[in-house]
Amino acid sequence: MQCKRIEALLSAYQDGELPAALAQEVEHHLENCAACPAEWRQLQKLVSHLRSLTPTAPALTFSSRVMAALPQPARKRFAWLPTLTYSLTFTLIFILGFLLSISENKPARAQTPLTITAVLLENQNLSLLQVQDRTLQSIAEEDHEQN
Amino acid sequence: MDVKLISDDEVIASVLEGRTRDFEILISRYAGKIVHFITRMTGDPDEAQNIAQETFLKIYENLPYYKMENKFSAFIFKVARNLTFNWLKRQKRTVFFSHLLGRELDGIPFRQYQPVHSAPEQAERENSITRHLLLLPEEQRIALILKIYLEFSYKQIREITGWSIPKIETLISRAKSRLKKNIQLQEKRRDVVF
Repeated sequence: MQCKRIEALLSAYQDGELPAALAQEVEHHLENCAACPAEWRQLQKLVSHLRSLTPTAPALTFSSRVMAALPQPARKRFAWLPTLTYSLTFTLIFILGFLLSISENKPARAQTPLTITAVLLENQNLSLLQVQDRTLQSIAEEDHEQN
Repeated sequence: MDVKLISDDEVIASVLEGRTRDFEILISRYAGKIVHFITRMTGDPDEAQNIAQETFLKIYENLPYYKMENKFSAFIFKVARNLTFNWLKRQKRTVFFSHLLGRELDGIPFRQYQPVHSAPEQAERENSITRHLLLLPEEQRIALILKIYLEFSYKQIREITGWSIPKIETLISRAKSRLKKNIQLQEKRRDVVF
C-alpha cells in the first residue's frame, strides 16, 4: 500500500516538484524498501535516455530570415488616442473657462418693478395684493436710497 | 547598457516605439528553445524551423496586444504550441485523406528524423526516442517535453498551457510510465537491453 503511494509520487519527486516533507518521505522509503528502488532506477534511466537526444538549434540564418520577413513595423494600435483625448480635454476646459468668464462679466439684472414682482411671485408664496404692497415698498426704498 | 540586463518587456516596449531591430534580441533569446520544443513536438527538425519562424512573425504582429507582465516566455510558448498543434492537425488530415485515396504513407504521419552528423547507432536511437514521443497523446507529450527538454517548472508549464498543477503532474507521470512500457516492449522485441 505504501509502495503504491510512493510510486505515484516518484515522477513529481524526480521533477523536483514535491514539497520538502513529501520528498523526505519518498527518500526515506527508497532507502528502506526492497522493490521501489528498482522502479526509481528505471525512471532515472528513462529520463537520461530521453535527454540523450542531440539538442536541435535554429539555422544560422534563422534570425536574418525572420527579420527580413517581418511585416510593417509593429505599433500600438490607437496610439494616437491619448493625444486626441488630451487635446479634446484641453479644448473643452478652454471653452468652459471662456463661457464662465462671459457670464461673470454680464451686468446684473436691473431692479425694475416688473422683475421685483416676478421674483416675489416666483420665490414666495404671496397673494397678488401682498406682492403689490411689497413691490411698491421696494420701489419707494430704492427711490429713497437714490435721493 | 548590457543587452542581457534588459527585460523582455523593455525590449518589446522599444520595438513598439519603432526600433524594429530590437526584435532580434527576442529572437536570439528564444529561437533555440522554440526550435527545440517544436522539433520534439513534431519530430521534424526542418518543419520546426518553419513553424518557429511563423511563431516569431505571429509574435511580432501581436506585440501591441501583449500585456507587459514579464511573462513573455509563456506568451511565446503558447503561440508556438498553438501553431504546432495546427500543423499536427493538418498532418493527420493529410494522412487520413491519403488513406482514403488509397495511398499508404508511413505508419506515423511524420518524416523520419535523420540527424545529419550522428553515427548510425545514435541516429537510430534518436529516431526511436522521437517515434516513442510522437506516439504519446498530445497533452502528455507537450507536458513531458516542456519538463524534460525545456526544464520548465510545473508552474511555468501551467502558465503556457493553462492546465492545473495536478493535471500537469498526472500527464507527465503517465507519459513517463507509457514511454517506459513502450521502450521496454521494443527492447524485448529486439532483445536489446534498455
